[in-house]
Formats: sequence, structure tokens, C-alpha cells
Amino acid sequence: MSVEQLGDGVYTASDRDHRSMFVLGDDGAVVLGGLGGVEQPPQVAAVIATIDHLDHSGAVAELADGAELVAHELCSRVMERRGARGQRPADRLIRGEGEELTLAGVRLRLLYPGPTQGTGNLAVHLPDHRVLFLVGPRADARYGLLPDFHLRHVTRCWRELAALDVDVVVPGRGALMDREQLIRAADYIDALKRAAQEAFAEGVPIWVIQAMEPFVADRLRDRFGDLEGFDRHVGIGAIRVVHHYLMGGWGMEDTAQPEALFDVSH
Amino acid sequence: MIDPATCHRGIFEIDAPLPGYAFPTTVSYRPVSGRLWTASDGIYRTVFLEGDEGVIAFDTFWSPAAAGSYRTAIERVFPGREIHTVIYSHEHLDHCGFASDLAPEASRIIAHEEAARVISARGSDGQAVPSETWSGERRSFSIDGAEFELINPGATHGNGNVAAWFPDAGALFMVDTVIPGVAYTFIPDWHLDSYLPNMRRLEALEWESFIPGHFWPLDREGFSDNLAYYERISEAAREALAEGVDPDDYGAIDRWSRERLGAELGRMFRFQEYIGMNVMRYMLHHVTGGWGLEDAGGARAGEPL
Repeated sequence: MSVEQLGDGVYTASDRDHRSMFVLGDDGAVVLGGLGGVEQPPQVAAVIATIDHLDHSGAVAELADGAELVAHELCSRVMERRGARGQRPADRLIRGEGEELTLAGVRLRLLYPGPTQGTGNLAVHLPDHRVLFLVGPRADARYGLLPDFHLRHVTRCWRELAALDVDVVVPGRGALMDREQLIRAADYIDALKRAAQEAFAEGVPIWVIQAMEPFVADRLRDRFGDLEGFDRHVGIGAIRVVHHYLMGGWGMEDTAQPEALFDVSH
Repeated sequence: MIDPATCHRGIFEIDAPLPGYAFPTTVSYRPVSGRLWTASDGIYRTVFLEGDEGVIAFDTFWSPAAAGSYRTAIERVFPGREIHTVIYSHEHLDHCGFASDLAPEASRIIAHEEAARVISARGSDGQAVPSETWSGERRSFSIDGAEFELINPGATHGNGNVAAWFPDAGALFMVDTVIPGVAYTFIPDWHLDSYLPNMRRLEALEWESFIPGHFWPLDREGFSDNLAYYERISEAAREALAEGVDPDDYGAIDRWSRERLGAELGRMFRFQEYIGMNVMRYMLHHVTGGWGLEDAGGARAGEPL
């Protein structure tokens, strides 16, 4: 685990791949995800569960013991229903498209641009530090099975966030990025979507990875073959993406009306 | 032969012909019992019912052309009878995406409200929006002299996925849940948190034959064995994680799975094709905690249907 300072009071911590962030405020730290690896943890004023997935926010309840837990309403609903040890419903809900707030003296914009990965995935914009934190995009091509990605909307959302005036994009996994790399991440996923559709159209047996992998890799290598992990991950990614088109997407998140998620009562 | 440039396109976005959607398939058929028939193209499978006047078709097959082949099969068995009702098992396009090709004349298209909500919001080209919805866990239907029950056991796969129970035929039909052999590819849109307990609720019903949405029917033992396979893969995925296998590295997972599970499961149908993807999917489920509200706390274990 390593900790790197990004600016005045702004830090990121990462293990081999997962990454979190924290900001030192007036009366404690605001933590995005977790605090693993910090040798002398600061007093925690607030924890933001930016996504519901356990590998990013599976310990927020413990971390926020005595501190305020903040999450998007959709994320909090899943954490409550899941009932995992280490998670609990949020103390403060961020509703709709997000809001600006100040926690421990730190000005934050918590943005929900739509379904990207997971449920109620919040981008955290620190305008005073010109930093954006976001779980989902990567600087490389190591997306694996694109777990819980919502392919209909994810790249549109990333492109909207890339328009923010920031110098650093802190992803939930992998190396630090800049805005151009965030746009390139969207370009890669869009290219993967197009190549997967072309495979179907051209009669490639889409359920056979030994057929899908070379077809899609050939289509994408010129533009994206330099991304770390491209050859190992492009095949399984293509299998995942082509089934989005075969099946029609997964759940309300992949429809034309994802805002209906706010109305679903369970 | 339909035109691949002008056929219904589902949610495909590329501006190119889709010969995959226009390729004609051969759909075979056979009676099950009484009014109940089953049809298959060798991979996909569904059922249809003989009514007093017309036909009740479940699902549509996976493409515009396959839907047309399904229609041809029904017309051969029941010439001159109208397909007046289509019932969706769930909302995915590869089973229920092409009612506009199967039966544009159908006056009744029935789906569970959870499936209908997604279908309406999706706006897929060729997927007719349900004209009737139902809610809750069970609903009995009597349509054109045919009687059956639709059952939603809780979150399993997709949205609003229901079983159709035909007590007179001793048959239960359900799609993309229990399928002979190992699971399909990366177990797409299965809600693994609640899948097993909710599927096991269906074992309380009286039936002898389970008709899946793919391949061949199973008896009760085959149904139970198939569910036990999922338990085993869930456990294997935990073992792989404990041993440090990277849940994002398909190649490493596939090698681990073949080596560790080959002796035990290697003779199962499609083991060679999908065991690595099956294990990978469960590993990611354990790591992330599940995907979406459908995959969180929806288990109804032990609750009677």
C-alpha cells in the first residue's frame, strides 16, 4: 500500500490496484472509500461511499464509526438491502444528480451523472484542488469482465465528467489519470462496443472466446494495443459486451430511462 | 429470407446490416402432453399451447429470423390458427425480443410487471411492449381453454423472470435459470445473491419435467443437480480468491479452474467452454457483493410459494 500527496491536504492511497482518496479538513479527514495503508490515520470526519461494491466500500461502516457516512440514495438502498457486515445505510443521502456540500471545511461536488458502474456511483469533484475521484475508468485496459458496468450510459457519463476543469482524475483502480486519459478510457469502451457488434454482424460465434478475442483484438490493436493488459483482457471484455447487445442490457440501468430507478419501490 | 439491412435491430447501434439477425434457423417441435408443445432450434427452447381457437406462444426466440422460424413451426402444427397471445418469460431480447416478427397480430402480450417496466423503458426495435402485466408471485391464467400458472419465485435472472407451471402436463418451464451442463458463459444477469434459494422454492411444486430455455428437458434430479453445481462453483470461486487468483484475469482463472475442477466436473456438458467464465463471474460476485438492487437481499429462502 502506498500513499501519495496530490495537493494541499489531498492524498491518494493504493494497493496493487485498488485506490482510495482522503482530504484533510478543518476537523478531520473526508475519506473516499477507505484508509488502508495509512500509517498514522487522521481523525475521520466523514466517509463517502462512492459506490456500493464491497471491494471499494466494504468497510465504510467501521470507518465511519462516529463519523458521518455519505452516499447516493441508490447506493445506500443497495447497502441497506445487502446487509453486509462493514456496510450500513448512509447518514446523509445525496439525491438525484448530486449536490455540492462542505464536509469538515472541504468543498465537494458529489455528482451522479447516471449509471456507470455499480449502483449510485458518485464522482467526487474537488474544485478547489482541481481533482476528480471516480470508480470505473482505468488508465489501462485491465477491465476484466467489466463487472456491473452499465454499457448503455457509461461512456456518455465519463465524457461529461471529463469536461470538468481538473488536472488529476483519481480512478478507483489503477494509475492516476488526466482528463485526456479519461476520454481515452471512454473511447476504448466505445470501440469495444462497436467491434463486438461488428463481430455479431459478421457471424463470429459470439459465445466462443477463441473466436471473439482475435476478431476484436485485430479491430482495436492499432488504437489501443499500447494499453497495459490489452491482450489479456480484450477477449473476455468482448464476450461481456456482445451479450449486452444480444440480451438488451441488464436492468433498468441499461434502458433509455435510468431515472426510473429513483421510482422503483422495493 | 428477411433483409438483414431492414430487419428489426434490437438495440444494435452500428449502421450496418445484421445478417446474424436474418439468418434462418430450423425450429423443431414435439408434443409434451395435452395442449402443451415444446419447440427448439437446438440451442434455444420454448413452449406453446394449443387453444380452442388459436395459439398461446411463450417467448419469441432470439432473432427476427428465429422468431419467423418459430412461427412457421407453430403454423405447421396448428395450420390456420392465429397466435393471439404471447407470454414473455422475462425481458431479455434473446428470448423475448421479437414478438413483432413472431406474431404481429397478437392482441395479448403478457409479462410480469418487473419485466414490463424494463421493456417499456428499453425501447428495443422489434420487442413489443406488453399489453397486460401482472404482479406478485403467482397468477393463474385460463386463456382460450388452456390453463396454466405463472410464478415469480423472486430474483433469479433478468427482471421479472417467471416460471410457467402446467400441472396437467406435469411440466415446469423457466428460462435462463436451470440449463443442462455448466452455466452459460459468464452467467450473465444472474442474481447470484438470491438465485439458489429462490429457484429451490420451485421444487415444492408438483412436476416431473423441467423444460429449460436452452437444450433439453430435465427431471427433478437433474434440476437439483444443476443447482448444486452453482453451489460448487461459488465455493470454488472462494477457493480461487483465497489462493490469490486475480478475479480480473480470465486466462489465469481458466487455467486454475481446469486444473482444480477438471477431475470432478470435467465431463459436464460445456465444461471446456465455460468453466473459467463461470468461476470468474462468481469470484467477481464475491469481491463486489453483487450487482444492483436485484442482487441485494432478495432471497426468499424457505418462504412457501
